[in-house]
Amino acid sequence: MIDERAPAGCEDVRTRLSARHDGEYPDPAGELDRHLARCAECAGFERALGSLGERVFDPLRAAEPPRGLAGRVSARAARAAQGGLRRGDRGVAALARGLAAALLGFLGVQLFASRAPAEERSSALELLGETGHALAHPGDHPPPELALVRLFETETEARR
Amino acid sequence: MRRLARGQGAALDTLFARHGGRVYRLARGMLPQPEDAEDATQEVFLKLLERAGQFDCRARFTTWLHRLTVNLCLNRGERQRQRVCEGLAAELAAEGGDPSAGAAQADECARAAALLERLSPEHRAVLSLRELEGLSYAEIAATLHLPVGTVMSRLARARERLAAEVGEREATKVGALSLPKTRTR
Repeated sequence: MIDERAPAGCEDVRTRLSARHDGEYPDPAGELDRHLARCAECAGFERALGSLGERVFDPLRAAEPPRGLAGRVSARAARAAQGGLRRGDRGVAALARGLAAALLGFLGVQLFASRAPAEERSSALELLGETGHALAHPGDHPPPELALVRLFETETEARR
Repeated sequence: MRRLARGQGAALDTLFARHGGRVYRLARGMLPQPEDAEDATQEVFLKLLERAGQFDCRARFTTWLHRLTVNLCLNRGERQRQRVCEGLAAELAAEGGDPSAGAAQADECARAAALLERLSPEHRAVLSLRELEGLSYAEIAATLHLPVGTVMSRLARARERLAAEVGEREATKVGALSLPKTRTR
């Protein structure tokens, strides 16, 4: 804030005049008007304050958003949301593929170490092979998230 | 804002209906070209969607929105300064005597924006918030993270500069606003 006890130079007076113009500086002591009575330059600034609103800001205050802008904003927002969703999907898919690969490795080790009959081991290995292929070629198969679900279901079934 | 944070796109339409005008006018005051102001307005609402979750519901929404708009316009302004100055120079040259510039002269809004473009981005920001949005000094201070005294002095310097610009233009027509040259901060 301005120090009201400071001697009033022209720059300081114009700062206060500008604030008074905005209703933010009441100048109860009338110091500004006394200065204006003897300073033509600051009086010119005060007159200019009044005219700036009309000359510069009135046309801008009347400016309305162009027709159709609301629709264009909605359309861009929808496109941005779709893009974000696709990016999100890719992230989930990569995570699922990583988890599935880790699980495949784990199951593979378990199978080799298990004492299950050769026939069961063979069918489980076949399923692991299919799932691995699906992970390696995601475009030809259901999404890896589905492969992961199938794998979990099969593994759960095998434990019963 | 809570609705928007939950991803309800319809909330964006409602917010635009309520605040689109103020965002556009503020952008129009800070960016000289109407297409830039429109683009900035779109970006503000996209950012709104993007950052909806970051909004602190205890804060005042319009302060947040003004800040978002001003910052975006300041960034855009810096990137486009060179291009805009070239455009303004061409416009001013045309006003000097080319009769084909009549259409541009008729566009008061464009001329007002071009005058504001002569100011620094900081001066444009305080003037636009005050004159176009009618914010109090305290609200401008909160929006721009400035002390109230800085807002007060910055507004005065901005007005001195703007009055001088208007005076220079008027001098080529009916006579200048006789304003003294003063130091600007």
